Amino acid sequence: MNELSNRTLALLLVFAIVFSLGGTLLALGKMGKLRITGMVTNVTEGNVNATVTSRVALNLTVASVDFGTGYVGMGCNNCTIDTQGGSNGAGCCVGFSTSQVGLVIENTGNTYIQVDANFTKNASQFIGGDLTRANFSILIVDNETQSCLTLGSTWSGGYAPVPTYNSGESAGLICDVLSPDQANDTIRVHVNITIPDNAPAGSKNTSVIITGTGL
Amino acid sequence: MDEDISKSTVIVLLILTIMISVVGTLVVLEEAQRIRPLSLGNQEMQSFAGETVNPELGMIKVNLQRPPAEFKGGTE
Repeated sequence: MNELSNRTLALLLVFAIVFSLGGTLLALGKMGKLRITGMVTNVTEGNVNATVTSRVALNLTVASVDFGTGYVGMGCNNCTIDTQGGSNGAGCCVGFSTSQVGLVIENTGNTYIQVDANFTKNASQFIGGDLTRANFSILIVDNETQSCLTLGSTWSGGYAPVPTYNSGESAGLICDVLSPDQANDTIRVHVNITIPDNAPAGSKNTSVIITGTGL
Repeated sequence: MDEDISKSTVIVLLILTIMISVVGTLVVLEEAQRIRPLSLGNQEMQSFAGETVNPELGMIKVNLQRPPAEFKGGTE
């Protein structure tokens, strides 16, 4: 086998140069077309700014309490029932539901909020009857531990009359700071009613308006 | 062109090939270094203190019936 001539070697080298240049240009061209976000052109460090918008939001995950249908039993001057399963006896509270769990308020946003509650009716407007016995109260508790920094003092030590609009009980601050942490972001509003035996019969209802304010 | 080219020409071409190859590789590596993973530099929170959300509405219900008529006893 004859050795390769210099001319052949030179041709092979020219081909090698062409392939090398072509490969380099092809690689550079491919990188230019990648268009990866964050690829910098003139500096050695990249920087991306992100703005996280806070969202003020709350939700009533349990939005109603329905004590059902019943009446004040014979021999009792009232029926007292609450959403913690308590009552003054099945003989006094005949037919009413004792399985209600109260209202549950959840901070569904990503910022701390203050929570206020106001009911549209007080005890006499909601229940009626002997006003010395009619009672409509709430109790605020953490539904998940340490959800609220400080529960409204009026309603956290025990049942107290509901806050209503246009009354002396209108200061409806039930939680000063409700956490947005998913594991600790709910409070519960328990409800207690006392129905006098002379309260007028009929379907009774009242609304509660829960308001959240971003902090 | 029957004459063969000189050895020196072949050597020059060889050196040129090596140089182009090395330079090309370096250029490609340099370009590749510019591609960096994304990183969050600054994070900024926009606060909406005082913003009030649409109120949520809850309901409390009870249906109070008259007790059944009491049997008063007495004569039929």
